[in-house]
Amino acid sequence: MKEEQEKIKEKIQNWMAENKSQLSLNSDTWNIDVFENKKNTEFQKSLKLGKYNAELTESDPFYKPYSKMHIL
Amino acid sequence: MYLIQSNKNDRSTNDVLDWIFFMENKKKICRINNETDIQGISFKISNTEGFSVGLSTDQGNINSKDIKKFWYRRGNFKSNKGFTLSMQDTKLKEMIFRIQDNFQRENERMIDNVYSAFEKGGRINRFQENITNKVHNLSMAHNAGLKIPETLVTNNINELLSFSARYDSIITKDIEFNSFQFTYEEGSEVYIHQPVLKLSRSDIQNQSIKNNGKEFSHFSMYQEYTEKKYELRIFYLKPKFYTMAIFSQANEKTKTDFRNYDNEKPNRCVPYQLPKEIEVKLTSFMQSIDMNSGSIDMIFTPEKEYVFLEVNPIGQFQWLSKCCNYDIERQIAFDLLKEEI
Repeated sequence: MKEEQEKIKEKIQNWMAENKSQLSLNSDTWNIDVFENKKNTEFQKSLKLGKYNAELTESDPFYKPYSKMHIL
Repeated sequence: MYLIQSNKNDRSTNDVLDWIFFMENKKKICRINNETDIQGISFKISNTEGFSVGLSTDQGNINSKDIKKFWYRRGNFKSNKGFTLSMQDTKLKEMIFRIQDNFQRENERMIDNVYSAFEKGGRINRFQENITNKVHNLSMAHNAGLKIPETLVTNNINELLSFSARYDSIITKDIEFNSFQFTYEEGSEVYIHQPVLKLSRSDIQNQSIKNNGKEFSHFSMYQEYTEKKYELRIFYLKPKFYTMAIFSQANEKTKTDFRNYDNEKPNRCVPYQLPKEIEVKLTSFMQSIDMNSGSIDMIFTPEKEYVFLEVNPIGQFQWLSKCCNYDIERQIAFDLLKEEI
């Protein structure tokens, strides 16, 4: 996998070198990270927070509402 | 009604809401997210009732007349009505592009109108601040009397060469280049971003040799490298400053930019009081760019000078608030409910 990722990175870098003048002067300083997509294997159901109209993929199991940590 | 626009996974919005529910749960709070499906938008301009906007969403209707105050935290409106005209007939390609351009321009104006209706009763942050301009901000900071790093924005290699010759080292950073991720092929994701990078004079000379005679279509930003004693992250919530000093210099990873976070050995962060003179200049700067809340990055140099770097209107403030015990979330909740502490 590591080898394949290096190949993809090299392909992108080659494309950038060939098209350098159509990019910006500092494009050779861009960080290119290639990684394995584990979305299907590590799918996690998000947690819905009702009245907050929010969803979290991970949560502190000992979460205490921020306002309750303070004595007004 | 108090309206908040955010992302569904933004924890800072949850913390502010937590305070609102704690202080005043009788007032109606409405949070719309990036993911909220906007089904319809109607604008009314009437001689008797003035200007108003009505939104129908998958979570109910919102009328701008009912909004007492608006907090733009982050995000955008999601619409299912994207432009999907078929491109099979290539002869019609130009016509389709022109229609697309027209609708896009019209939509941008309409979104501006939605926000001006939302902001009538008062606001914290603005959607338009998303398109804040780093180069313009540096110029305005300079006009406000703040010291800034010597800066060059160019697409010309010779200009860069003569700029770099004046300093021992320089840095390059993005202007408006947002990091992005895409699927290259099944199972392989690519993430591209522009880091803040320190470059020596010889790095630039090598680049110049490699690219001799080439012309570049797009711009890059370069700044003189400024030595730091420590870095400052300042959250401004009109009229207050919440400042944190970040001791990033003892760690090679965070030396050039504290945002190259070292999670195993985090930087020491402590509350910090800015000199009055700097606060006055920063206030004048924030007023000049019409931003009433934002995260400002500054440097304190070994020569005891404060150097302004940039301002981010929708930056994270949760870590600053928690590290320094500032309760920024509580203050935002108070500001939104128009109460003073």
